[in-house]
Amino acid sequence: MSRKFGVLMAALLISISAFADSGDSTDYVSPWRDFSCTLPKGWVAFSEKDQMGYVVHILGPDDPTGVYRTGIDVHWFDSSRPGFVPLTKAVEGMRASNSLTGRSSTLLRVVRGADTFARMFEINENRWLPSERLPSIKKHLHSYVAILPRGKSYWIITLSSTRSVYLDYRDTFIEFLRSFNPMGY
Amino acid sequence: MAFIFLWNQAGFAALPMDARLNNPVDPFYNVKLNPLPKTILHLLMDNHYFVHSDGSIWSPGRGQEIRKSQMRVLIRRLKSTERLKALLRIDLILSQNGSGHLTPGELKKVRQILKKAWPFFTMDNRKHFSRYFSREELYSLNLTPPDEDSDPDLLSQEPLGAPPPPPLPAGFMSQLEAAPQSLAASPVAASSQIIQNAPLISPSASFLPQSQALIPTPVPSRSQTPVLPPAPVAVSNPPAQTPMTPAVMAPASVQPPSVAVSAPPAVMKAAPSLAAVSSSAQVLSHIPGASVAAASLAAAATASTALSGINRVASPAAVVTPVPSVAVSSAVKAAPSVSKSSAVVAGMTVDSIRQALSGSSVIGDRTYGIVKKPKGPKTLPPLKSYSLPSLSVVPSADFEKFLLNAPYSGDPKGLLRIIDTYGQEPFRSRALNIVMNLTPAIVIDPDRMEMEAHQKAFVSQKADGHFEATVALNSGAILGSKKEFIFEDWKAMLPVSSSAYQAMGLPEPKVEALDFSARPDKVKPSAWGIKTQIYSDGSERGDYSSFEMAGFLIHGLLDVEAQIEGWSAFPYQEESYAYSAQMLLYAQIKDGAKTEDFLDPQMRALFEDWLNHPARFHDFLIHSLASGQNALWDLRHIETSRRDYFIRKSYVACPKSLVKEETLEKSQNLDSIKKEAMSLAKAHFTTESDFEKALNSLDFQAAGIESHQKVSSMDDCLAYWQKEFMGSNILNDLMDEARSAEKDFREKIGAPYVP
Repeated sequence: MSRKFGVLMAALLISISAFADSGDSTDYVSPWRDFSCTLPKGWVAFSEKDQMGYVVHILGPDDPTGVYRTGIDVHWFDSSRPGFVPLTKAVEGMRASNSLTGRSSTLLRVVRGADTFARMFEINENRWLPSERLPSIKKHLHSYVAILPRGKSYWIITLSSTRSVYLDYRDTFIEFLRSFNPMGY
Repeated sequence: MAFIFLWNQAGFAALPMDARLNNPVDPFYNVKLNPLPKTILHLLMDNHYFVHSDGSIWSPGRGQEIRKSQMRVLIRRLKSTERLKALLRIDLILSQNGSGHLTPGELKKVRQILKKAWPFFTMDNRKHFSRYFSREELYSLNLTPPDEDSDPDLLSQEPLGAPPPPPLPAGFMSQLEAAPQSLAASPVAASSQIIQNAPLISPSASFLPQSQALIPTPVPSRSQTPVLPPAPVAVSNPPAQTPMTPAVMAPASVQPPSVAVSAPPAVMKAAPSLAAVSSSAQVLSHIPGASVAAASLAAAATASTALSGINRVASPAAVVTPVPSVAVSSAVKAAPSVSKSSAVVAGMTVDSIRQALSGSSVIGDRTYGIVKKPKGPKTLPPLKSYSLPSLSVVPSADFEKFLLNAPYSGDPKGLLRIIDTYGQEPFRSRALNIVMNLTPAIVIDPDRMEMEAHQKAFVSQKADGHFEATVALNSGAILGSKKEFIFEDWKAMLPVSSSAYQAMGLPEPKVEALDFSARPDKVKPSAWGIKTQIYSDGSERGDYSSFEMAGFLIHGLLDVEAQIEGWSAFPYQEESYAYSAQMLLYAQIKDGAKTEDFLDPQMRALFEDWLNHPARFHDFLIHSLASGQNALWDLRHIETSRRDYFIRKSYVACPKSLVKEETLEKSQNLDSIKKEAMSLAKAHFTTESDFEKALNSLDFQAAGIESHQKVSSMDDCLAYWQKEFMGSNILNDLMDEARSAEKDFREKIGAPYVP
């Protein structure tokens, strides 16, 4: 009986995975197998090392003027790493205003993530773009920032774009957060 | 029978796979939901497909409704057929003419055929036949992009996530890919050129029966086995391309040599088409004057069939339509060397097949023509691996001695001394080594900057192999200002170089700060420099400090090294490395000066981010470099495994791969210039009519890129990819070096890693 059930379950899993393949979005598992998420349709992800471990960048469409590509960046801040900054201090630093770039941030609010609640705020600032090419113009950049704590460590997930298109990606970001699933914690 | 299992309220239900008929997973195609281009609709109708008023598409004959999953394959097949038909018709006209000089009537017919089939031609086809049309005609014809379905696009950006296929065995692929080059020089160039470009009637591999699956064979040597880093898993990514691992054919499935051999997935696309080609050859062989074409087609079919057997196990299910004996015999008469190819039979090892093929014509997986022994090397030299050379640290005293006799004037010497004093290892020594070994010209000349904001490195290689380099630096930012109405004040940093405006096709904006003869209203210190010139129209000419320019110089010197060592092909990594050097230099200067005022507001914002929020700085760098204006982003070059696979694949596809790469680069560059022109227009620095003219001119240039692209030589192509491979080899070490230097610096000053 149990053997038959096993065979049936295997067949079920195979059929489910076949169905999962046909969707528009893409399921993504980080190279370090510590989180999974669903990539928005047409966006591409790549990872690289950084001082705190690694980071995954997910790149989406270009801004209409071609100066800034919208994208999601997933950073993991491991409390065991040298230079680690506790969450409250980190949030304080991220939300600090800067007169040079006209940087300002909104209040913290809570949104629902995959299995937990994330704290979220928005940042606005001005930058000369492109930075290494001319002509360069001052562009208004916008970022949605979400923080997902895991013990003392935390994830910081940011969706940044130009201000002119940021509203188009609000739902994309919320959906991404809902699909974001930390593994092994 | 295959089943799917579904769970509902009644429990598990096992349904046969046919139950998916009504499942939304594989619905019927509907042109109302998924509109098709007009050319495709006409193509379907020309081939007797019915498009019903409800949007469904029905096949001719028995009239089955077409599913969404079948559409791609169907369209590809129809396009291939169109191409083949056109090429055969042209071939017939050329063969009947014989003299090579077409009569006006024949020329008209050829042009008509070409015009009709042009939307379905690949880039290669178009390039080959572009001489039949004027520039204006080509412009309008090329408004529809070339069809690349049947041409495995080397330059396509495959979605990341799926692990890339392993590198191809260089020797084998090089033989396959070398063939097209030889065809151009063939004695029957007229017909073979056409046949070379002949497309496949190629239903996708998914149409092939399961029994045709590749039998995995051991990889010949461990060195060829790619070691893949942990790759991200993308569940719904398309399956990676099947590697062309040489396999030994199963002796049990021996078939008559030229009749029944199966096809490998990469080469196998040819398999179903071979029957068509062979039968075309048979038809052509009966037409007076078309025997050469017939011979070529048949020979191609035979040899392709034979070649395709290398990678696969022959099985009854994989038997291709037998090549008619008439065609085979005519093939052998016209091209005796083919007989060797056709002697490749099941049961032979890869080596023996290679031996059999050597000395005979070899054809690529997309080429029918087979005429002459390839000119190119039979086996390409393997790509040479390269490791980061050990860095020789430059002592300050030695550099000072060098500077005393160096051919530099006061300003560049001063900047080099700043790098010597404040530069951080290993960047300092890398930059100074370039200066001491290469002695690049260092000029402060905004007119040579073209569209670069801060520094531009030019490197050229002389005939004796030595490099010559120049680093041009900008002296200050030009801030244009345009007041519209009362409140709007448009500001932009403008290029000084007239070549930048020429490239955009725009007149230079009427901004006083751009005119060197104009006198400023006042000169006063500002955030843009201590001697900022302010003009009556509100424009400003800034003045970069020496410290800031020293940062530009170290960035430029490292760009020179990148171009020599081959890692300039990877712009994100190159920029990231050079920025680390520049920012560490500024950090040291700031440490001494206790201020950041030596930087202009734009650079200061970047520096503050780098210093206080390194994660944010790198994110910003990626998002801005990946934008269209920078044109510096290339997903093929991000992950090591994907990068190396791409380079190996391009290497064996020389010289075509370099042509494609250069075409892509030019078109990206034009796209970037177009967006830059748009920025200028949006900031009101050009009139609408000027912008329209510029856009038209840029579009015209873009349309002509493909037809004007020169064919690269084999040697140039091999050297190009070898250099890129060299850069790729050292890239990871370089990035580790930069990360480690930044980490050491942060630990030294006790800087926390704030997100």
